[in-house]
Amino acid sequence: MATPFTEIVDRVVALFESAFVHSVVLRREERPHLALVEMDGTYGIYRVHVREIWQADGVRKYAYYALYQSEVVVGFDNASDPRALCLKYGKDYARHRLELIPHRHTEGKQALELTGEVDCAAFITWLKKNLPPM
Amino acid sequence: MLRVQVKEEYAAILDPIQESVDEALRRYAIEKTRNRILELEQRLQKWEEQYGCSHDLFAYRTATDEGYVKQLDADAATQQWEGDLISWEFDVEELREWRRRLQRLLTE
Repeated sequence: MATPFTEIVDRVVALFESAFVHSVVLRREERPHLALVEMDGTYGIYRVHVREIWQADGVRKYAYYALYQSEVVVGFDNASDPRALCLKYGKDYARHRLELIPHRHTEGKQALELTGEVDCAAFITWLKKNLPPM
Repeated sequence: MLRVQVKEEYAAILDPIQESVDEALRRYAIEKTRNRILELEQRLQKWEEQYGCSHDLFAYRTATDEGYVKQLDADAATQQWEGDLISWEFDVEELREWRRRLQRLLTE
């Protein structure tokens, strides 16, 4: 049954499948108020794993990773990570703990930097520009 | 309202047919709903075992405890905790919704 999210999820799945090989939709669930997609694919020597959730109130949460041998090489997400909150708000970050903060994790999740909102298309563009598939 | 066909051999036994079909469907819906709730509870249990806490506590700790988050990031098994949090949250919402549905079915 089609939901308000069907078109959006279709687009994201098609985009993912066109960008990566061995793409698999591991989980796709849609409800009138909520939708989730989880996908896995291969990008050269890397494995790509993404999860995204859409809510009826317009909120979108995401986690996009490129992995090499199970370790994160790069990760984009908008979780309320305390380190990202601290970068954005300084010492008083705890007051903002419910806010979504877009950020990027570097190799091995050793460091983190704030980013703008990222979607699947932007993640793919970033990978192609910054992470040669080898 | 949907129209369904019922085999005559059943219809003869199930008279009055409308009440019987309603009751049968209600029971089947309750059974399906209970199965789905069980499945979701098992899924939540797996998350809780993996991270050693409830969803609410995990969401709170990952938003406030820098040391805890560093610990998660240091282990390849939990490095994708942000993604897990997304899936976990969906499962929690699902469970809430299915419990609401069961409640409605039981009180009809």
